[in-house]
Amino acid sequence: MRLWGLAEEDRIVEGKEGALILPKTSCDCKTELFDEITALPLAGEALSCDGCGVCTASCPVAEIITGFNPRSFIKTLEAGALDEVQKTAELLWRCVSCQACTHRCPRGVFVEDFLKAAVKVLRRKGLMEKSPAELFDELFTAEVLEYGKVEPVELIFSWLELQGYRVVRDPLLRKPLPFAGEIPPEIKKLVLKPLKGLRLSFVALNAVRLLVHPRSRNWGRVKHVLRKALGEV
Amino acid sequence: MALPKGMRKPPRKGKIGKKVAYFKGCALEGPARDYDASARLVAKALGLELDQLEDFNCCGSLHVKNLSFKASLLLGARNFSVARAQGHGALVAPCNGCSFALKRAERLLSDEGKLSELNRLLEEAGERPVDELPQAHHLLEWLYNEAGPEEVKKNAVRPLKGLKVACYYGCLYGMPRVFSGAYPHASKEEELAVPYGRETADDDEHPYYMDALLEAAGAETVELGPYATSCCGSYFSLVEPELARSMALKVLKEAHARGARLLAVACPACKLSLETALARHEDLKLSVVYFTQLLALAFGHPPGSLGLTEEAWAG
Amino acid sequence: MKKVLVVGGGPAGLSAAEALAGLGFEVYLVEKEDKLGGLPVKESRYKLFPYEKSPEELLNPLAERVKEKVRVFTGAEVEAVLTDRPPFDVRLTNGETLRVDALVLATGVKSFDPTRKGELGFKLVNGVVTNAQLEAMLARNELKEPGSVAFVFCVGSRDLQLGPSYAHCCSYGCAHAGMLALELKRRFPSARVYCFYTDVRTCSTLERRYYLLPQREGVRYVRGRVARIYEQNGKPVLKFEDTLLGRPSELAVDLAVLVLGLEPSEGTKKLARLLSLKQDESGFIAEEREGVFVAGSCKGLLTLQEALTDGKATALRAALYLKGEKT
Repeated sequence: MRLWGLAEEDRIVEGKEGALILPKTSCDCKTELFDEITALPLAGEALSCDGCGVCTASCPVAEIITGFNPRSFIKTLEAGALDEVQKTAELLWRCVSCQACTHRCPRGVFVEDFLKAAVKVLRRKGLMEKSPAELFDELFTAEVLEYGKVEPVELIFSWLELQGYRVVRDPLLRKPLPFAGEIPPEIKKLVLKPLKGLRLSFVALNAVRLLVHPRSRNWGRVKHVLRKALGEV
Repeated sequence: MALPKGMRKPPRKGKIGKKVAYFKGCALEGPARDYDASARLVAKALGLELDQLEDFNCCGSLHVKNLSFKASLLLGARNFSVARAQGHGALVAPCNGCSFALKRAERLLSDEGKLSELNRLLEEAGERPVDELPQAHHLLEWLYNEAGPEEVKKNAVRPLKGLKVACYYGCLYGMPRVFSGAYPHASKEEELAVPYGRETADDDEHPYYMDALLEAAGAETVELGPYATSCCGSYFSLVEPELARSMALKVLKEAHARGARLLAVACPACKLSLETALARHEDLKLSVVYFTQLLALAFGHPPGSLGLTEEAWAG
Repeated sequence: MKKVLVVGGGPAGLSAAEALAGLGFEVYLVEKEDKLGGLPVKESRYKLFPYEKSPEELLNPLAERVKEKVRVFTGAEVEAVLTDRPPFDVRLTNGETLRVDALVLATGVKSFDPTRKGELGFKLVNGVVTNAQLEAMLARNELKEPGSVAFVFCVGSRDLQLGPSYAHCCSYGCAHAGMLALELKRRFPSARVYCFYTDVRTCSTLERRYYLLPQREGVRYVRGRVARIYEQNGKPVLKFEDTLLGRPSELAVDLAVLVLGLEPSEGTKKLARLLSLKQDESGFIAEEREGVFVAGSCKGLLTLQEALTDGKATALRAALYLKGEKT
């Protein structure tokens, strides 16, 4: 019999204290996990979840990855059963943030925000490894923090480098050279394909942009405040 | 699927304004320059004005918010501050990611006390506080409402006769409705009762603005069914390419099966993801183009000037 | 003789009017539609549970009795209430002005407009109908034997995506769908009939007849709310998660039946405005005041049985008030 997911003090434990009888609960539960997640911005709406499954039925990732199930993630984390949470942690980061779940939830749960908040808390508690998605979020955010703007081509190459691809950069400005190095063929094709149709001026402008990273005005001061905000949830 | 003609709303002129702040976004400043150029040509031809925000910052897309709620709002607030400094009450973004992030910031900053909290941060950063929240819209919503199919038809000197186009809107164009304000079937009274309902928003489940504009430009639109708004996977184009590819492929296969030659998009990230998937599936004879490129073409601009390659255009 | 105006000629209004007339008051009744009977008659419902009789069978005798004792205005509405306190001067849209000592509001509810729930494909996908449409088909014997039918619960109820005023439960849909599912199963024993639910709320005695019995006769209850309906090969395809199995799935059926929620009618909202009565989050009338009594579903959803009883109870409260007794 599984009676997991109930608060410690309400759980039924069979046998006398010290007797060699296992409690009826099947595993360790951390009910405070859910409290911590729902304390984060927008994630609190998950308290309204009635488990109807509209999020999972709307989810494009659930169609592809067996076991990816936003409804079950919410309910598992609410119960806090650690063995189930462990399985959840392995899948959770694969959410593509398409918002279809939040769009249709009849209880107004911000499902996507809840999933991202859950990642944050599980990471904080050491219940989850750093995922590639988090690594990319950090890379993206670091570029925004540094310049205020993102240079997509630069971002792509920085990511590939982080993944162990050999990216060739010019020796002076350390800018990636899209034509050289060993990068996935479809990305190379993609970088080169538009050049055929683009006007020469487009190509030239893009090249300049790659050399001089675009930057927002007064970013030095904004950066300071943004960095502080980033540290604060 | 796109909402059938009889159920569509007429454009609501004057609700957004003919002149708006243009939030170009990082991609249109760089690799998606062709989208930017064609968007400007189209707006101009339709008698509308895109006033570019020179000093915008990244919208934060979907990534900054994953690390910090506050930081994502700060990025939004600074953009609103810049738009207000240029005297605008409305912002238009051509990218689904940007329009999502801006609409989200607008919605969340409209909660009591949030704006003043962020204004304090802006002042600390030496930026102008936001006096009044501007409204954020997608470029497509603006073009449909302020110009609309009739204006497009009038300007289509070279109608896109015989061109079979599948209109792909992507997920973040209208989702989630709590940010996009898409509550289209509500009566006037109900619309007002729904917080953040926005009359200029496209249909919440069966968007049709792009179909309507391209049909007016003479193209034949092809039904994508539920795939018109299913996610292209661009969030994971780099991080989980296999997952992204299988998501993009669903859209591409549907468009191909329905006999489309072109897939029109309204977002540079969608285009990237779809083209990455196409690169491995050349049997799908499809080209991905921006809807503005097709409109500009109908308005008489030569394909070369729009960044359209021979293969994309002539097939 | 004291006079009362009953607003609304549905089950609650009719039973209130009959009771008040029987107690010796001079009663007026105003009904917006041309026919008395309210929502069940207006939507030509097939059978009303738990009686399992047609609206005509059930409500016509009552309407006839009312017509004998009450002055009935059909095809008319309340246009204005000219006095703030009793006696009320009420102007109707047919030009009539009445002076009455009390008002009984029984303005009822209307069905949800399913085109607002675009993801469920009403008017867009072949084979998607409302429960009222299915009833009309059953009543006229127009339904050809279907291979499979799916009932989609909670369309326009318990749904905050439609706005904060849609949190309420329609309270009749589960039992109603159970009744129709059973009927389909009996007419077409080989048809596969599914019910997609979040919770099945067949309260009290309805549980046995409209949940247990349908299950026993082969109706499959699937626990999962339908997220989307689209067309494939000319048939509706339902997307849902079977939450008890934890599996997202798709199901192609011949007929998808949307079980529509109920919301305050236009008349209910109008009367609340005219009399400045408080409304709850869903728009139901949430208070009464001196000389104003509220009967039936306009104050919160009731089943037919409850509405008939509530009409009588409200009539009694009004009568006690008119006789000068504290209520």
